[in-house]
Amino acid sequence: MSSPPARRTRAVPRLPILIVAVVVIVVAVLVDTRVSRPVPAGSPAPAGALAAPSSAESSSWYCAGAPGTPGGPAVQRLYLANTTSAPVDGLMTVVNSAGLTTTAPVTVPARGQLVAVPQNVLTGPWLAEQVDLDGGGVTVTEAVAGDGGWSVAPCASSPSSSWYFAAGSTAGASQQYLSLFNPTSTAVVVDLTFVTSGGVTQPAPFEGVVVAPGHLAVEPVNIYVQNEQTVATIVQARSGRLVVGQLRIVASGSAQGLSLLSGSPSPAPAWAVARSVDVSGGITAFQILNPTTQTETVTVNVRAVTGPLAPLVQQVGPDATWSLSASATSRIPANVDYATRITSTGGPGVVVDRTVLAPAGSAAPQLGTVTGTVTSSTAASPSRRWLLAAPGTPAGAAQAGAAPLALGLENPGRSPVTVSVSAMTAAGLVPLPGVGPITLVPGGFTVIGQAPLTGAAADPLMVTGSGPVVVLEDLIPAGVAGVVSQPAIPLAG
Amino acid sequence: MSQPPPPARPPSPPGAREGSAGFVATPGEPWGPEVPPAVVAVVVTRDPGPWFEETLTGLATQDYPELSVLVLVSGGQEDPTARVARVLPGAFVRRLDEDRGFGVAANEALTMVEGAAFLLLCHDDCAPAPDAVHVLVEESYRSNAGIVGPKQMRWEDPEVLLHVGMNVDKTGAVVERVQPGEVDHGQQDGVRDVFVVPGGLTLVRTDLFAELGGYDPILGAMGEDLDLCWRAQIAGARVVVATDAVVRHLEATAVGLRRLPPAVEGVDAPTLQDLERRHELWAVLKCYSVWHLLRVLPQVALLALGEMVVAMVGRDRARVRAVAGAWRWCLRRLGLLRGRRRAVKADRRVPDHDVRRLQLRGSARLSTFFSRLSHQGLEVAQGRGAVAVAAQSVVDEPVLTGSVGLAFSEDADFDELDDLGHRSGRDRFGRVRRRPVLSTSSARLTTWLVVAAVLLIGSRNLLASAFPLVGQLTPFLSWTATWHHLVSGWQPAGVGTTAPATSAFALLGAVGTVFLGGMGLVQKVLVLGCLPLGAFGLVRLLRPLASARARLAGAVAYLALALVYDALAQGRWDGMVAYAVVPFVLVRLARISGLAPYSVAPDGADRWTGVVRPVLALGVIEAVAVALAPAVAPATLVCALGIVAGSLLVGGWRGAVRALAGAVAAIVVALVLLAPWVIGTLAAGHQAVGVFGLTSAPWSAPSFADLVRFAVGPVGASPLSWLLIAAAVLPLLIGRQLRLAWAGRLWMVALMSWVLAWAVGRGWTAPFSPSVTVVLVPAAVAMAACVGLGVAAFEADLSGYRFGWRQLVSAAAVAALVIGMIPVVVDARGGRWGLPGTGYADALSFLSAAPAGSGQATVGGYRVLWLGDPRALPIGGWSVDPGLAYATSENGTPNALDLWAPAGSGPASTLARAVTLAQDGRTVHLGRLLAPSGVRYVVVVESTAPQVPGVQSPPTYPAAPSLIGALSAQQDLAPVGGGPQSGFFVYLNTDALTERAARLSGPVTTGAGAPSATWPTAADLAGWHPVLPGPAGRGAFSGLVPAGTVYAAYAPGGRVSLRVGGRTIRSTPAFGWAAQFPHQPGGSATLWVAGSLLVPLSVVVQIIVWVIVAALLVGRRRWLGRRRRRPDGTGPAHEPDDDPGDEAALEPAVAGAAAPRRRWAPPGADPVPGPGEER
Repeated sequence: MSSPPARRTRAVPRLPILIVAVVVIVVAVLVDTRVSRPVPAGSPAPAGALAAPSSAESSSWYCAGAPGTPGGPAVQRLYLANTTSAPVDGLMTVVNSAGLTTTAPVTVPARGQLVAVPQNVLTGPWLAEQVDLDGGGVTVTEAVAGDGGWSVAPCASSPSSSWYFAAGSTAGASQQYLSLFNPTSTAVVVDLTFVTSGGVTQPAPFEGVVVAPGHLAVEPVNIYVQNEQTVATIVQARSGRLVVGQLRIVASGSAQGLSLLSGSPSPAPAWAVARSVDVSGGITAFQILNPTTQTETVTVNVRAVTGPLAPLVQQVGPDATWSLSASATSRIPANVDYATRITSTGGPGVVVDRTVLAPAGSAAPQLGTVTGTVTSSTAASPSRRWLLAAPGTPAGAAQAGAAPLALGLENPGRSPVTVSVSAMTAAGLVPLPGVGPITLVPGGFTVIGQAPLTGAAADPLMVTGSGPVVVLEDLIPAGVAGVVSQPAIPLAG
Repeated sequence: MSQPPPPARPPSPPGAREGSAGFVATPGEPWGPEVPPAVVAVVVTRDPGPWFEETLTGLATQDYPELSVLVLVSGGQEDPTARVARVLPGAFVRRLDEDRGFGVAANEALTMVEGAAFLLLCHDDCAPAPDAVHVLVEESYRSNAGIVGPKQMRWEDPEVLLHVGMNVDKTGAVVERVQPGEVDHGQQDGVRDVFVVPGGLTLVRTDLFAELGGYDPILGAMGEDLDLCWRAQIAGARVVVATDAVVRHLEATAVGLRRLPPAVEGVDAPTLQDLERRHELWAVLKCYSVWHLLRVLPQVALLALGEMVVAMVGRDRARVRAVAGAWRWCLRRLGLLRGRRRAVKADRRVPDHDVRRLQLRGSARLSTFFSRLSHQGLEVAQGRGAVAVAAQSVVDEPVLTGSVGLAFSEDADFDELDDLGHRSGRDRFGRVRRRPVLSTSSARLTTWLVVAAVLLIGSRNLLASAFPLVGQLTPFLSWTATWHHLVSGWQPAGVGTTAPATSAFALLGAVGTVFLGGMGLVQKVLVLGCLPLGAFGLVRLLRPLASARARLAGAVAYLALALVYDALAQGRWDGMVAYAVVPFVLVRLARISGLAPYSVAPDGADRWTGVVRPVLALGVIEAVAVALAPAVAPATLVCALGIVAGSLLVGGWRGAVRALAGAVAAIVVALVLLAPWVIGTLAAGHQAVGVFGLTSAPWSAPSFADLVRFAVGPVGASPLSWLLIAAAVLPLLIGRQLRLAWAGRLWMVALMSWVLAWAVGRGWTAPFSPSVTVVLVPAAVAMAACVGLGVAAFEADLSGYRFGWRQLVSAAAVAALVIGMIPVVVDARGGRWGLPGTGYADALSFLSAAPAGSGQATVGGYRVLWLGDPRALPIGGWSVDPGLAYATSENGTPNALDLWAPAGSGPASTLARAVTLAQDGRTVHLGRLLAPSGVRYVVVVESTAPQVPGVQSPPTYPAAPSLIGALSAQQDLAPVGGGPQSGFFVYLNTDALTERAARLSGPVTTGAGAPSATWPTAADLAGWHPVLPGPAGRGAFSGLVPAGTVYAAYAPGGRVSLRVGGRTIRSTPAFGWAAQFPHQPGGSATLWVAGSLLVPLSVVVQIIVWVIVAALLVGRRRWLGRRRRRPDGTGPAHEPDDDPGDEAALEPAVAGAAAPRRRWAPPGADPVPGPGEER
């Protein structure tokens, strides 16, 4: 048997496969390490107030509360502004601190505003409201008015497990109340912590406060934290989520005021207050609370019309506050408009409120606080539209003579932003007379005076920008500008 | 014509030398002046064939001076005297009237010859070399041997060894000392004691032959040499083989060129196997002393019984008949046996225990069977018995054998191998010899047992209890429910669909039926069985390429890779299925490619054998795998593409293209076999691609480095797992030829697998997102196979290099292989391979209104909406966004019905839209939106199983933070369980409807006439009460309903019917997809969902197709098997491609590698045991 002729065996190439293997692995590893992975859609930083998109199927608002007894210290009103072209139906649920609940249907007119008076639905020592709407594009603002003056603040669009109030005081005759409203279906257990000039205090009665589902609890802070010039409050829920509001009533001889403060659900590293004015004799102070466990380096940038001023820097330790009195700072000139940006580094951030005390003898109210506006939004798409509810309508003014005084607009970003301001009427958006599109340079700000605003006193104002801006409206009657202020509510989508 | 009887004493018939073809030995040259001992060659013939003259010529040309030739014509028709005279004119011819076999005829010499010192007992088909007698006689004196045999070569190919003596075990089974087709390179040369000198040409001392009484006359053919040699040793004579004496032996009877003698054939016409078995048994019964016989005989009987059972299972009737017939034949001759035993006893000079030292230990036949079973499969193991030993000699195709490989190796111990390749354990100086690791079958068996023990230890807690609800380890339904689900034509996935169910239910139903309904056991077998099956597949993959030791290393490396345990720990059954199947897929692809040393069919095979059948077989494998794990289909393509890419680099691209075409064709076959499900899947449009897997969260995807080392779960996350990958580099560095070529191809397979898994994990291929645990399996197979190839290269190629870095790298690779196994071995301690002990069925038992197994029906029924990363969901579903999938279960946690979701979500997509609304902050009433679907609970899972601090920490795949925030903001969803520390969140839908509800008021107005789904209003959801109890997953419910409207949250609503009081009421749409029955009168009612009639019909057709394919594969195979046994079917398997990778086919795969399976051996041929394997 003959064997087949042997064929010469060619060698199998070794190098190409080694090269390919090495190259593929090295390239893949390099790409893997250098190309960042997509990040999950983060839970947007809890916004105290954010209107649902107009295409929303439903939305809700929660107003933490105010006194609800007829003839009591204050009367509460809700301003429901509808930015959509169709009426939005909804249901207002009013809860009093006694545990009673009543509902009332509401219909917010298209491009209009509805004033709801919860006290007409249910009375009680204290009232809180939940407004469920069959759609989006609606904002809800809460106003309280009493003998000491009046105040206005946005309601919350979602409950949160934590709330922070940087401003507060129990000095003298100040009364400070925290209303804890649980609109969810599970019980909430809450701990309250107060940061005062003397340190951190956690009064036992405010530990483990249980708020049943759908219930409202009101805690008088000044009973347990007495005579403290600055009282910052941290509300932390052990379980569940809730809505918290703070009401300060000052009825001493030297100052009268009634301040409704909507808290901040989370600290943030960048804040802004669009417009402030240090009126001679008055006090303008920025309260900066660091509720985190890390020391924050806080920088306050002040920009006057003439240009930016030298920043103020301060280390703020954990659970500490920094109360920056702009009036006592010589580098901030008096009686001029300025915008303020507060940034912090070193930790998750801080919480910023502003307190304004009018000079003695000014008209009431003389004391007011407002929550700063977060400018470091982690939301995927920051808002481009903001809404300011009208402070009063012919049918239901929060305060007699309530009207806009000035509108501050600040560009906190790094790019120019073009802003336009319109009055929202049933016929549509009507630009304010004499106020064309305004271009704000990065860090720049402007103030729209009272005259253009007067014509739209009864209409909500819509601010539209090509980028994020900070909008703050000062209202009258007030001792000085800034005592009664309301930040604009951003509109999602 | 008869010759006169020869003279009684013809030691040296005159004239013999004169007639010896011209050769005339002169006394004294070389023998000197002394006269050498006389030798008489006794040639027994009967009707000799054309070879006879060559035999005579061989005798005539002997250089031995004192050789006489006596030709005994044992019956037959032909008188060969003239033929003898022409070649050997001096030879004596005597004719015996009756042919009673070689032995009886040869015994005639005892009476016919005197004065001869030796008898040379010759077959008439055995031609000695000129010096053969000379050498044999000389060796007889030198060794003082009684019987001396030569080295026998093939008649037609004198280069190939036929016999170099034989050995015997205690059961009398004769074992060859050479491999079939072993080429003689002198490797067997040397004088050795053997137990048997096979017949053909045997030199025996005349006095010994006379003392023994010659051959046992009852042994007409086959086995007479065993009997004679055994008795000779009992009588104290040595039996040796002198390999310097060479003969060519035709073995005309064994190869069928001549019939058995008529007296032997008798009336029962025994086969050679029959004769061999009966004569072996006869020798055993005859030659052992009483005490030894009492000890051995039960063993022989037991082995025979076992062999018959195995043969019966394998339908080897011939073997059964041979074994049983041997006993019957011997027992019928007990009287004769007693006489024979007396004679043996009289001759005994050596005790049995001395004789036994020359026998093999254990049972050669049994060890051969198990060796082949483990290395070559059952089919080969059940091959013909020892008859094939003779038949192997005619195998045309030379086969590389271990003996040859070892002969050319640098193994200095080669001479110490015994006849089976066993090492004696001591060298020629008696020193204990160190054996290479895993070089013996016992060592390998021990290793396998250790591996099995590790697997058992690692799985012990899984074997003892039911699987927890983790990932795809959902509890199986009863076998009847499984069948019912397959043919029902409606399945409750989502909110219901008439899409055909996957054929996996047919598989589960069939296996469950076989297991008599033990579905728990079925699940364990189908899940845990993937481990050994995968390892077996890897052995199959490496068999043509590597030695048994290398195959073992590869398989153990495959088992040591963390991938499969990670899949198990995460409940990824699809990954385990792929783990079991992909090695077989690669084997089939390699065979289809025809790349050496794989082949699919012999030369001359028809199109069926060469093309259709392998593709069909691969298609069946694909179909089974794809039914259970659809992602196996892309994994198959990865394998084929990897082979193509690798072949472009190392050669053999034509074959690789064949493999790719075969893979595509096989997938097409699989799609045909799964046609109903495939059609239903394709009907889902763009969602169809979701059957391969859903897009997982890219932010929690493993890194490329993690993928390379298969660290995709809790097991084997140690850095040591890199070492196995490092060991797989070895064949690329030191391998040559086939080993290098296949290592290159396998590395390309691995690279493609890794890159695809990486891209899938990153979300770059979305929506095509096959399960990563499946996509990685080709890489795992490739790496493990490369480890095996590395060992093969270590054995075969390393010796070809000078000492240098390669030796160091090899040593490091071996160390890496051993150390790299540690993580998995350590993880075996837990007994669960990381699979959590607590599943979602335990943690979420409160979701079930009626306890599982209580038999209580849930009134109304409800659904649970599952949300989370696809890797964490314990249910099959659909994608919302990358990293977020959704699915529904009924009345609690999922079961097997929910495991394979149909490709299209149908109206269930409204659930996804609702969730998206909530995520976007566009609703605070998600519960209301989910209510029409009957969703009572929303469960968000963030880990594969509940987190139990301090007890279990399963892998986590956090959902997008926005999801939890959005759900928490919903006013109608109340958290009722779980939390960030639990790995899951459960929300109760306070607005939920039940699946079957009734109210007194009118019908739902939303979507009542709209073709598309719309959101409900508060009024739509008011006033409903649960009705119509019934278990989950059923399509029919009965009970009392009040007058008014009945609502059924089942899709398609048009197929839902209600019968109340004997009257069938037509449904109207609700919410665009559900059904409602307004204004029904109330009373006893039955509600049912009518499935598509096409589904059961298509299932029937599908089963018929499966049966036809199975019949084609099995039937054609048998038919082909018969055809193959025809002697004219020969030829190599394929034509090598003209490239170096394929030319390597001409080069031995590896020293010690298993020879390719010989499919075309003649009848009865034993498969060649793999070199390095013991017979």
